[in-house]
Amino acid sequence: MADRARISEAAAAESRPLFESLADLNRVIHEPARLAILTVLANCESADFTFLENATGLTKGNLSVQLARLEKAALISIEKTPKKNRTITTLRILPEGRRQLARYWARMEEIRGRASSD
Amino acid sequence: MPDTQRLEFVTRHFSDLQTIRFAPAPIAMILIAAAQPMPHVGRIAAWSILLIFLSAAVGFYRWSTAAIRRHYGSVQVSAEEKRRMERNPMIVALRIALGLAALLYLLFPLTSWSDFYLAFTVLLTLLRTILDSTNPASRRIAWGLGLVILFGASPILFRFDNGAPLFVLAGATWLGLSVFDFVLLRRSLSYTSPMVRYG
Repeated sequence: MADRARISEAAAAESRPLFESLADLNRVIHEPARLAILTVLANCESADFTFLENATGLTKGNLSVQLARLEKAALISIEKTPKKNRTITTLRILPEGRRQLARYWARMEEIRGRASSD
Repeated sequence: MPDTQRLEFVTRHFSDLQTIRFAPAPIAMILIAAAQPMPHVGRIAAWSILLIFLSAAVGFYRWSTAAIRRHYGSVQVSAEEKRRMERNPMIVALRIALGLAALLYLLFPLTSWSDFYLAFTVLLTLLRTILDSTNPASRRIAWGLGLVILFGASPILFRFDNGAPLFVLAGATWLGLSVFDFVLLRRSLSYTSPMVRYG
C-alpha cells in the first residue's frame, strides 16, 4: 500500500514541470542555516547550543531564531536544563525531522537528475 | 570538503578527535624511554614521582575536557554509531584471528602474549580510523602513515635497549596523531560556508 503510494508520488513528480518541483521543496529545510542545523542533528543523538554555534558558524541570535523555527515546524526538540549558574540547551532531531530531511535530499537528487537530463 | 560532509564528519567524530586529553600518557612514554637506563631512586621518591604524574595526568584530563566543552560544546552520538566500525569485515576478521591466537596460546604457551595482545589492540585502533569512510582522506592518510611507521620500525627497534626506542616511537606516534586530530577538529569547526552564515 505504502509502496504503491510512493510509486504514484514518484510518477506524479516525474510529470511535474521542473519549477513546480522546486516550489514544492520544504521551505523550512531549504534554507542553508536550517539545513546545516538539521544535518548536524541528524548525525547524532543530541548536541548542545555551543556545538551548533561552532559547527554552523551562526551567531547566537541567528541560531536561536532558526532553532525556534525548526521547533515550531515540529522538526526538532529543545530542552533547557539549569546547571550551576547557566542553562544548558540540548537539541534533538525528531523522527518527523529525520523523515523530512531524507525526503528533502531525495527530492533534491530527483531535481538534479531531471535538470541534467533536460 | 563540502559543507554537509564536513558537518557529518565533525559531528560523528567529535569525541574521537579529542584524544589530546590523554597527552600526558604518550609524553610519559617518551620521557621514561628516553631516560633509559633509569637513574636509581629510593622507593619513596619513586612513589612520589608516580603520584605527582598521576595527579597531573588526571588534572590535565579534567581541565582539557572542561575547556573543550566550554569552547566547542558537546555531542552525544548513538550507541549504534559507536559500534559502527565493529561490523567492518576486516575488523571482524582480525578479532577472529585474535581469538584463534588466544586459543593457540592456551594450548602452546610459548610466545609473549601481552606483547602480541598489545600489538593487536594498537592495530585494531589504527585500522578503525583508517577504514572508516566517514573520515576525510587527510585523517585516513595520517593514521595510515602512523601504522606504517609503527609496525614497519617495530621489528628493528624491538631489539635495542630492551625496546626503549620502540616506546619512544610509539609515544611520539600517539602524540602526533592526537595533535593532528585536534588541529583537524579546530579547522573543521572554524570553517563555515558564507551561504550558511548569511543565507
